[in-house]
Amino acid sequence: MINFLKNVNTINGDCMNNNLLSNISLTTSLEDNITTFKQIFSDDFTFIAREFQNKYLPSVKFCIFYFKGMVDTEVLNEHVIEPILSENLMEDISLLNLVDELQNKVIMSSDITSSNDFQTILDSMIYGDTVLLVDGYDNALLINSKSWPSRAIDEPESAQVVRGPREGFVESILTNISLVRRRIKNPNLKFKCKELGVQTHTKICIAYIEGVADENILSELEKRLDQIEIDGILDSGYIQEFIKDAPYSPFETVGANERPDIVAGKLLEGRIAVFVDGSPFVLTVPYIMIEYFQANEDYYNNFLFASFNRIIRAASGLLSISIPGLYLAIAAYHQEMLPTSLLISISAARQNVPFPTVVSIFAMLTIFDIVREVGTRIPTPIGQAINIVGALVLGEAAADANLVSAPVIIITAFTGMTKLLNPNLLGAIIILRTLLLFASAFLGIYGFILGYLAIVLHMMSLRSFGVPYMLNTTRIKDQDGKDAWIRAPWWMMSLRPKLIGKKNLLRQPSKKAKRK
Amino acid sequence: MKLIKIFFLTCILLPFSFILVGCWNYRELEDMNIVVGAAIDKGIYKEYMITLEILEPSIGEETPTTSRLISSEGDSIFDAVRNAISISGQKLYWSHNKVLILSKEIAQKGVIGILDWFHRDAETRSDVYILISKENSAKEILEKKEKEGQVTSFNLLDILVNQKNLAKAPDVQIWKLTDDIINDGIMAIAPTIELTISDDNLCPKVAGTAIFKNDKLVGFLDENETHYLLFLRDKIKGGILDLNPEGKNEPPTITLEIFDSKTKIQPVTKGNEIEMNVNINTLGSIAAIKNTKNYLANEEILEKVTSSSIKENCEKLISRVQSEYGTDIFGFGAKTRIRYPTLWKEIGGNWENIFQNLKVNITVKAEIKNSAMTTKPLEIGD
Repeated sequence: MINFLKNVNTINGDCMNNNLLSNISLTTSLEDNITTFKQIFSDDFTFIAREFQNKYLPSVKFCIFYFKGMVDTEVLNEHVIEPILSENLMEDISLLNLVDELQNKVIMSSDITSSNDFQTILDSMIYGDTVLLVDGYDNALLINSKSWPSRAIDEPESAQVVRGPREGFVESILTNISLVRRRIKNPNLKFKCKELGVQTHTKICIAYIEGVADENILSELEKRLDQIEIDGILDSGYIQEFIKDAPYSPFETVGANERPDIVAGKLLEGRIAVFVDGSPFVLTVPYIMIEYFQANEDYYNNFLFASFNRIIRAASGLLSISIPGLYLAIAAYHQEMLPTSLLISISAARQNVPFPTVVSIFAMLTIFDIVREVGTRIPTPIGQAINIVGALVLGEAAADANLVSAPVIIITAFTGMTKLLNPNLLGAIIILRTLLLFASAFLGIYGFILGYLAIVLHMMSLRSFGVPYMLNTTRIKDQDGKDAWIRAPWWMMSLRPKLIGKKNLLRQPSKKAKRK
Repeated sequence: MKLIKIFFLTCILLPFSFILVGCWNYRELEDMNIVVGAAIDKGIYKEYMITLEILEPSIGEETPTTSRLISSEGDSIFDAVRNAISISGQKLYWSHNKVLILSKEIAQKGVIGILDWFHRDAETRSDVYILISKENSAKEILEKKEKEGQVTSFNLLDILVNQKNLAKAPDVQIWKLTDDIINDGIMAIAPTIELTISDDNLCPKVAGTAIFKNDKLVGFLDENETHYLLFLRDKIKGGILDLNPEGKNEPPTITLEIFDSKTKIQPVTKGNEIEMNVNINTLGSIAAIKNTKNYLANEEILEKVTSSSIKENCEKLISRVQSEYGTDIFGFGAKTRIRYPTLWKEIGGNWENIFQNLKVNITVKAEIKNSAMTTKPLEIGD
């Protein structure tokens, strides 16, 4: 019932808004126009309407509209108002078609357009442009004067590197685009812009390299983006969930990252990026499983070291999913599989522990995740204290008080550590780990294997924009396998990924690539 | 919405169906009595008395893992094992059982009933080491420890595993014993265990062999004979040989370490008779010399002495087994069965008699590889 009422409300609200705006158009009377604007932005104190007149031209009134805080007032004062108020105004221009004359000869701005569509005027004003109206004319000049406080470009905290560029994306879409443009200086790098969000009008931008990116993927992406209907987009995460291939899967089929060098690399492979205004996370599609384990640093370091790191990442991802379940299955069902000395130490550690193994593992993992979440949310100075308390409570005290056995603490610590090595995979790991833990608790190794099969089957059935999710993970001989579990030296990778960059496969065109 | 409800209900109900029915195999480690060793004797009231060594797990240097013993009786092995619950309180866990000690009495009566349970039960393993006690009972072996706080079964396991460097007792696991018992043309053997005094302390010692006829114990071989039995069974991976190059009646002066040895047994038919050709290839090195003579100068003599020593001892062993026990513990019959299957069908039933008069030709090729870290014997200076 409540839902129903909500729907009615939003529908009504949207209708009123649309009707109001579509009925309005600019008139030749400046007074009327000012009244209209003031009505629309009636309770908005950041809305400024400034009227002025040139004393040598008293017959014509000018008015500028802008939002406080969205514009650079210095630019407005020196390059818009000052030239119009100057005594030389009449020497430069004729009074015939005053608006065009102003646009072409007076106002000193690199980006200025004229429009009489009320919707366009409102949109660009809200985005930070200044609107100049002249009495007697029903078209307005839209002067680019955007300026708002923005974070400086610095290294993203979510993905630190030892070797590699330290720039990270910021919240401004234009800055982000420029960061990528600086890396790919090529007219084929295209940026297609859209607006999403009925209320927020968030700018999003699809970036791709023409002639490298697959058109089918591009059109599929555009189709999915067009289908999004939502009141507001505050981060790229919204879009990520909207265009995801398998909506209920814990695995992502749309990538997100904070680094321009990664996005540039993915564009060069034939992938497509989606910039979202207000979000430092840029989406890339298609996104396949192996990308969880690829880091930008892999491509800058020695290939042997990079391959080693990548295998470590993949192995720890696998371990963090399976260790709790595997331990439980063996310790509670298949004690015969343990070496005798290990059996003795586990058995000795479990003497006088009140809870069953499955309960203590689950509890400890949950407590660890609570500590992790606390560590992420709270301010850094308190975080230190929390970490100490968490470590003491989890480790020493719990074991000393015989609440959990020492092996369970080791398992928890190991799982926690390996989990954090793949921060992107975190969500999936927590879900799958719990699934395997309970599968093992019910059926032992048998349940563990069934659970694993289910996960593998699920992953094998996934596709990201038509590209198989597990692409390249099952082969190491091909060109594609050279950038999967290992990272081959650059001179060996003469081709782009087969299914993603198939339009233009040659990455190193003069090399005679042998395609198997 | 309805689908989601059903999904969540299933998620909640499914676990309960596993937990609440009480029919699952989830068991915690601390609820089990881990059996590491078992000794089987003749019972006082019932047929079998089983004595079990059970672990008392503990970690830390101050409190090492110890063990305790419990005994129970039963008309069958399984009966005795289940009766142990009424003493120990918890169910016994057999998967980590290391050794099984049988008393002489039990072995003489036949072991098939015991082996059957070990093969039939799901928890017991067939890689348990078998030992035959030469003492009055099997139980007293488990009661004696080499040092205080030790788990006897682990000690016995170590002794058996490291036998390959000594070669004075065979290492026989339950599967091997069963295999030898049920197969045609070979009789089973098992290592023997006795108590000996070491540093004023009575402790177990593994050496020598028990010989079976079918599933019944018939006799014993001493440790020296066992050494050559292992040569004939091709089980030598190490061990030492004493040599007396000065003459047969002199005391041995050279100790040889065996590195590797290969034995090939080939049955041949000569008319109606069947003969065994045994080829032994031994590789060793000099480990110790008791005098200052340079034997290395004449390696060939040394090799000759080695091979004749092995040959003599093997022949002695074979003729003793042939005349005293008449059981083919060397597996000559099995080799014949493989090589001449049709012939075996005729003579297989009479193999016991054939074995007693079987002619065995032994050829030994010994090779002295080196003299370890020195090339010359120590010479006493003036």
